[in-house]
Amino acid sequence: MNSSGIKFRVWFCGLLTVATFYFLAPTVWTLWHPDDVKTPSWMMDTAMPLGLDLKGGVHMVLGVDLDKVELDQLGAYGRNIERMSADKKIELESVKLIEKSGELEVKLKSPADAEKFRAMVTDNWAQTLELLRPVDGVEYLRASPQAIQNIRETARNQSIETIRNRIDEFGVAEPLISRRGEDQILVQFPGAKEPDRLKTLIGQTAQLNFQIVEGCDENTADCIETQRADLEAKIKSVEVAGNYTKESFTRFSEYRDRVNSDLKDQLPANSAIAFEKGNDPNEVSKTVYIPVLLSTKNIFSGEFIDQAFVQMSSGSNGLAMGGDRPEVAFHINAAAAKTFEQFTGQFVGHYMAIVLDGVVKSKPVLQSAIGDSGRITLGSGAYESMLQEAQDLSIVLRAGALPASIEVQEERVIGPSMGRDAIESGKTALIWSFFLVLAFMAVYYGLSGVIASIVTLINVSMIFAILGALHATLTLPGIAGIVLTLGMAVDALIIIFERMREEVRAGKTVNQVIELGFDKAYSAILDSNITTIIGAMVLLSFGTGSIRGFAFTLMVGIASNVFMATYFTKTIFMLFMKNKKTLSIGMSRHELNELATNKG
Amino acid sequence: MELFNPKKMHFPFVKSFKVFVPLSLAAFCICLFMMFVKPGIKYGVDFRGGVEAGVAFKDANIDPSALRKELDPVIPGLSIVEVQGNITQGFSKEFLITGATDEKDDAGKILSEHLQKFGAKDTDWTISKLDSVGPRVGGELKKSALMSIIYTAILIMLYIYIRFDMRYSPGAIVGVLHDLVFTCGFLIISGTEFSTNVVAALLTLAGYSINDTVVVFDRIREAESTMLGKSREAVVDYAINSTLSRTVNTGLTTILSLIILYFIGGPSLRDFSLTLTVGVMIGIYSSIFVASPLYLWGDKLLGAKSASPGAPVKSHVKANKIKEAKV
Repeated sequence: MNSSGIKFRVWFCGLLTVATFYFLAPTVWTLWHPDDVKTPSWMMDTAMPLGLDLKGGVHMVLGVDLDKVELDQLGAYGRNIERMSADKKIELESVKLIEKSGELEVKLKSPADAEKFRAMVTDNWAQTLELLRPVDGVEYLRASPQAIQNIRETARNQSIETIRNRIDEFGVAEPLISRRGEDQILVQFPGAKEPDRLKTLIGQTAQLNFQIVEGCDENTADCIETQRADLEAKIKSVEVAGNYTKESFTRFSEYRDRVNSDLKDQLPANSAIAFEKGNDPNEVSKTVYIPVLLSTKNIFSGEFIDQAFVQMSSGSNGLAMGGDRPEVAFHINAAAAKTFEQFTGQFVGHYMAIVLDGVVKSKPVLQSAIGDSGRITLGSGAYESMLQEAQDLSIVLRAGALPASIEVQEERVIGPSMGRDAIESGKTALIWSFFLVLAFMAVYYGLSGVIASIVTLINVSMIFAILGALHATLTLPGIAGIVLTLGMAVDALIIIFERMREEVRAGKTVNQVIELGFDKAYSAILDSNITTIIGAMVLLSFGTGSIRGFAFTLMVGIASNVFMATYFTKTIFMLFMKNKKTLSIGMSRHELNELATNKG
Repeated sequence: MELFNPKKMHFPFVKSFKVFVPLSLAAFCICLFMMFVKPGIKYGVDFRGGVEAGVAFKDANIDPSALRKELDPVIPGLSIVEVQGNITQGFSKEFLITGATDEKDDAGKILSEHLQKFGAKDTDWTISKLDSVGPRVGGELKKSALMSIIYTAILIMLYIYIRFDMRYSPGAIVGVLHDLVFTCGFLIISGTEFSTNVVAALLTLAGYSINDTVVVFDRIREAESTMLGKSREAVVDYAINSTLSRTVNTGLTTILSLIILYFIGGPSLRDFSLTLTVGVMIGIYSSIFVASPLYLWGDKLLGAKSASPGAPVKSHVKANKIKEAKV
């Protein structure tokens, strides 16, 4: 190696060491001052946030509305029955869902079809539906106990999975999610900073529907405005009659349902009022709810979305931020794209409302049929809040809809005093582990062993500096990981030193020993570490939560290990050990003398 | 210091395979039997659920570690966290206690009995709530865990095939499997519960184990081309002996750290460090006595077809012939 090469190496390694400790400092500082919220101002913002076990966090119990899921599913069965009856030429007067008793009421047009109808039900829904005794020629159906159990079980598991996906995408470290009791889910967020945002993120059912606006198309001038004025007047009148306002209800959906049921007779058949959130034109900070009349028949479910992401559009509204505004683009899976195209093709020129959890997000005019992709614009507002809304919306669309609505029933903040003990013992273990490994290496490998320990210390610091820079959360198992890394990271160095000893025994000069030791150890170090990385990569793509965190830490650790052993250590050896008479590598003087005599 | 100097010390490992391979196989079967038939793996609260209780105290200075000390022997998989805000009225400190107890009522009884130390029930302290909790790790996760094991095995086999050759693959995979199965066997015998910490330990072990095996294999690969004319058995013996020092030393430094974790790292890391300590020892054993015999077996089976360019097939055959001739 020529002198400019070694110069570069020394500079590179030196800068890396300085950077490492600069990035690591905040994390170390946090461990020694767990009570302080802020790190000193001169430090970088690279402290690893501490996990729930070390500093507490948010603990939530969520209730899942499984009864609603059961009814929804029964309603879906009802629609299937309607469809199949039409196929089988059984004419139905009406199919109604009786929410109170959880039954389907089916009125047949002609009593003569009763036999045929019952046969159809038993043929197709033997497992899921039970026929009750008909009353006055009206058929009643109920979901079988087995089907109910199935529906509830699936909904619960799907809810847990969906919440897990959403939180994973949101990037909260190591959430703990578990079932509790019959219809509860327990979620723990270590050191969660934004409990409110998490709550809305979890709570969104994320049921996306595309619904055609009733009685309006683009050819009717001012249609939307006229409709709005008309609806607002109607709503006002029922509000006055019933003596309530939006504020009388805890949930907006309850208010909407009340308005709809009060106005049922005044609205066209198969339509319902939904609201769009907007800004008051006179007072921007004030939210207004704009009523829109939507068809409940011409509806397309958005569950077929398989990709959603935030993109920028140059809005014609000319926002302050250079006109760019965030919106959510989505793709519909291939299977549903065709039906969606047919659906939208039917209503070209009409307004199509994009409805998320019952709230209208936007209602663009359908210019042409839409196939496999589309986008959702988000009204207007401050750039930051719109971006956040777009991000959250794309998360819930990607992670899938919750099968049931979810309500936060219990929310607690967990205190940090238990973690204090854990931090203390973690620190002690860390210090002891370092000195014991140092002692072992020094005894066994002499000066080289001391170098190895120092390199390992820098190595472990670098791993955690990287993790800190990436804002990975530090948990007690994480500290255990550092302690363990201290022991395991010397592996590559041990491989190198053993190789060097072999070269010494083979009678090579010190410089040759250094070159050959590193060279020959290289393939063993590389192959053994790549196989471990393969395992970590699989875990990273298949695992969730803490497993992914573990895999990630492992990969960073391995990369750092390999680099430190093959490059950093070699630089130190080239700097301090080269051109010496003997290499201090812990070989006995006796053996070295023997070798010297043999050589001579 | 030198414990193993291959120049002076040479262990006849290959000869001993005759003894160790059947032993390993028998023990492997026993461990599998224990895992899947009887008594089976004991899952902790993370996997099978348990009981969650809230306990509130009047005394604001109550020491959580005293509480832990009291409950640790009687509640399996104990975890205690302090609750802030929303404390039961009339009390000043509250803890959330979870454990892998099957019955809610039993847990209530155990708590009532063992908390006598902290004063009278309902005046000095109270159980503010008692619920059963479901497992934190659902069926979906178990499935994805299984999938990752399968994919990892396939990918590692592929990598070994590319960098080494087919003869090495079974040894690498079975070596890891062996270590995991044996460690699970140990966990069952010692009555340790499967918690997420134990799973993390097993994952770490898998990485450690494959690492260990590949280092030995690397030396076999190298010796195949430098020791032409020598029998495969001699090559393997040489490779194991010359990596022995490294195998033992890395194991030693790792175990050193683990022992410190076990004694100083606090109660929640005890299972983690115990599992890994045992696993690392098994790993050292397996890279010598399981992976290497499997390589020899793979070599006999596939050697003629897919020997690497570094190890000409002819010399290999010749070496065997010479050996036969000598006999």
